[in-house]
Amino acid sequence: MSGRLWRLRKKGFVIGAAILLFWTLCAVLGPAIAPYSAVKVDLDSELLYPSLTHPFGTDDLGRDVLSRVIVGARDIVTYSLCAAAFATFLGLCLGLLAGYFGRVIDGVLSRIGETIMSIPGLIFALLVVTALGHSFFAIVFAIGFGDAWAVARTIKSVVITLRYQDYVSMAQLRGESSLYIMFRELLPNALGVVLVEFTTRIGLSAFALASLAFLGLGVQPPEPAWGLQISAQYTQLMTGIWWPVLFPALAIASFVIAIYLMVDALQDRGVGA
Amino acid sequence: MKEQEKQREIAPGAEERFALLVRGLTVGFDVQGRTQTVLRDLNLSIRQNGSYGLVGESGCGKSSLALTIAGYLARNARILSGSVVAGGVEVVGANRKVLRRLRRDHISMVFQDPARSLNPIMHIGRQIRECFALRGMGRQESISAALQALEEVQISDPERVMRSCAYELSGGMQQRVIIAMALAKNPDLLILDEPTTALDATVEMEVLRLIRRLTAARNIALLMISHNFRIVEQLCERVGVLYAGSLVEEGPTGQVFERPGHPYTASLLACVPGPNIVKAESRLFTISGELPRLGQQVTGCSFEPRCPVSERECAARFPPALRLAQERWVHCFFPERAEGLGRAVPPLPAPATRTTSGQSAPALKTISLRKTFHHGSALLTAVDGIDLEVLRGETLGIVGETGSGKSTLAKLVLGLQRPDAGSIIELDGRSLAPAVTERTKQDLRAIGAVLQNPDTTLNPRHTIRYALDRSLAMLGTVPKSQRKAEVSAILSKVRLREEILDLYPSHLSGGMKQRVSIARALISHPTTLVCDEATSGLDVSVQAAFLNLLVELQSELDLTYVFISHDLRVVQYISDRLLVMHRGVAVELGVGAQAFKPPFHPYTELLMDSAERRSIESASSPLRQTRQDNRSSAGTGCVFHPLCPRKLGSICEMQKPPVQTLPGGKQIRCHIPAGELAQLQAKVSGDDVANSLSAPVANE
Repeated sequence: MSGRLWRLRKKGFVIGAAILLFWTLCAVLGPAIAPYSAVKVDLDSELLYPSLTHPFGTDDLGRDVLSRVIVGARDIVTYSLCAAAFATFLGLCLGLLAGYFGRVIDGVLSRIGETIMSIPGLIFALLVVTALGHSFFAIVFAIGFGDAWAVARTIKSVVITLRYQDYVSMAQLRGESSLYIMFRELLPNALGVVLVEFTTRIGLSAFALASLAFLGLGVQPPEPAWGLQISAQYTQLMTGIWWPVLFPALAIASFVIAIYLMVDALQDRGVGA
Repeated sequence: MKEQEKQREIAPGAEERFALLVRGLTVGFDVQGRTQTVLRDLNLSIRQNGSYGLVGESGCGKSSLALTIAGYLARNARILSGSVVAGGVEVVGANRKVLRRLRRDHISMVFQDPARSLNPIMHIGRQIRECFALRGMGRQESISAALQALEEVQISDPERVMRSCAYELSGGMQQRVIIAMALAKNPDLLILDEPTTALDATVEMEVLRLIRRLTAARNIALLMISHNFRIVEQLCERVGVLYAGSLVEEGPTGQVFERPGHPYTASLLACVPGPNIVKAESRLFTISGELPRLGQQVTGCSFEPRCPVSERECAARFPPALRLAQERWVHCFFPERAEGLGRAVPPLPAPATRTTSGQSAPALKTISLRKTFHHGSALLTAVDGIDLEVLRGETLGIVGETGSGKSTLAKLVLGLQRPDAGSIIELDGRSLAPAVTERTKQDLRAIGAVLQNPDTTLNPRHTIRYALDRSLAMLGTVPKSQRKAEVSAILSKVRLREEILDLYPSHLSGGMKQRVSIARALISHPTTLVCDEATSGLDVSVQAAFLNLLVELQSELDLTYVFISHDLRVVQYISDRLLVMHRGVAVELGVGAQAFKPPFHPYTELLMDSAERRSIESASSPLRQTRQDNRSSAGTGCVFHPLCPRKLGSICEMQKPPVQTLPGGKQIRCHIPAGELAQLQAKVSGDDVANSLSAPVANE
């Protein structure tokens, strides 16, 4: 029975990786594979129902929804990868510091982290973007900074169990610096957790990015970001025009689900357990 | 033919008389699509109320057998052939319902680590009551049954224990609770898997005594799995020796241990340091080679590659059972060769030992070394003012039970923990900084460490090459170009091949990992090596080789050792000085051979008694007082008074005992005059009374 379950999990990983690969290809090739321009306004063919010429239909400005979904992958892939990488790296450093030194450093870092995490992530990101503007770095920072503290907490809990291992004592006994012990002795043993945290944060960042875009902050028009498309078109749902909203929404869902399928498979293999 | 004879003695149809009957059992694990055999064609039987000991080193399949019997095998395990009848129930091929009934009514198991067998967040009372509730008892009935069960395992305050959680009890108490639970259903068969390995020596004795008394009284058959022969000898009528999944020898315990019929049994017995074996006189016997790897094809006798008396015939086919006596078999073609193995292969003479005592300066010296831990407002003195001196080239052995402060002492010397202000640690005449981060390169070089757990002392993500290279880079004195040669040299010193350099620690056996640890410790050419329970995780044959290596290196490199262990025999073998610690206090400090002869501090006496374990039931020993789970503070008096069987009275509770210095240099911290102790202890042990007895005793 465990064998069957295992195969299922492995299948999950393959499906997740395939979806992610698809979106990554869209992000890289984008305009080259999209059948139409993602931004060109064509008022003659506005709000066309999905058909063979426009499989996902067109939006209120006559833009092809399929093309906009394909090209829009670039934003979500780059932003969420960068935000997740930023959150993981910062969280890793903070977690190593708090876990290895403990005491005062842990106390101070933990209180700061709790304060930041007590503000809902989206509101925190909203505040940052409002203050710093809509630049790429501001958005990555806005999404990643809040997450970093959650990553730090997970890493810290792992480091605490590792730091009392004998090999840490042995490193101290040969006069190693704290920096060396953190990054060369402890980090390699926590890599599994780091990997799982990173992957999890990609999914969360994608959500946060879409939400920001939906609220009109973050990526700005006319960029075909998925969240932005939903926010621009959702008012028309009431009049029965569902396709400009449904397809970007499905795209977001598929991206996030793909990430979590992979996280599940990783954790099932004992990575970062 | 012999097999048939064997079958006849375990007559078919007689299952009812046996608590356990295993026939032709072969078990394999599916690993990466291939089946690897862990148990081969096993036959054994335990009569009702019989007791059977299963010995062998780790990886021999002892635990796999226990799990097979209880139907607890891992999912990837497969029973390839044979049958197991426990309590009249066929286990092989049984469905879940049958197995549940088997475990409910017929079989109980007790595992090594009591803390993990109890639910940490459930009160003890509820856990015990569950055992009775399963048998259909009501609430009130189960409560009184639980109280009675706890009383039976000699728990003095059952009501309090019922209300406790596992973490509030000591290891010994936890194991008693588990035994109470295991016996609650009056099983046909009690399986004990290393039940006392996690316990201190004195507690271990009591738990064993308890097991013996209860199983005998209730007609419960016993299957005891252990790596400790002395325990098996005390507890079991019959013993089976398991090697690489095959039962190589079986018979009455006394016969097997006195006249082993299989070379493996003989070798194993010879590996254990004997009561009077010391490094100055002999090396320890070792078994060459290693256990066959899991899944390795074995056609002949599995022990043949390591056997000192094997012939070509042995490799060709597995020797059939040879009947030596009534109910005594051995799977060997040449059982007559085994008997003399331990004795006939004379222990190698050790290199000439130096007779330096008195002249050389102390290599390591501590003056009023003290460490106090603060738990909120509570203070805990882990090490309480230790003064000691170890000469160059000597070994200081430190013994004591869990919580005695011996490991803290090691950490203080190493600088891993900062001693209280006023403590002084001197190495080779230099005063050492209290914390490792403040020590100079020279000081770090001078002191090496081999720590307890071979699995965690090497970073699992670093190759052996990296581990050694890095130590050399940090502490070595050779230029970069010569590092490679230096690593090779150090490897050959600890008898490791260079192929292992690019492996990760998980690819090495426990013994090899500890060798790498020594290599790493020696790489900076230290003068002193601190070994904290360095042999505790090793099997006896590996331990023997490891100790031999330590002794050789000591005489070759003139090393000073601080050797910490809970195993008195091992310490006796390697030590020139002996420090006995209890609750952070040095209760006794002995020098040379005198250290292991009376008079002893009463606590040392207790430890020696447990180590000798002449008989767990020995009535002659006045020390057989049931040890209460007493963790109360010793107050102002002697730290040992709450447990001391020779306690004089209130003086022990009120006054710190004086340090008595005997003529040979032995120091005992006790109110009882050393002469009197010697007399008392000579009567008990029957040993010759130390000459120093009549000599005047200097009181400090």
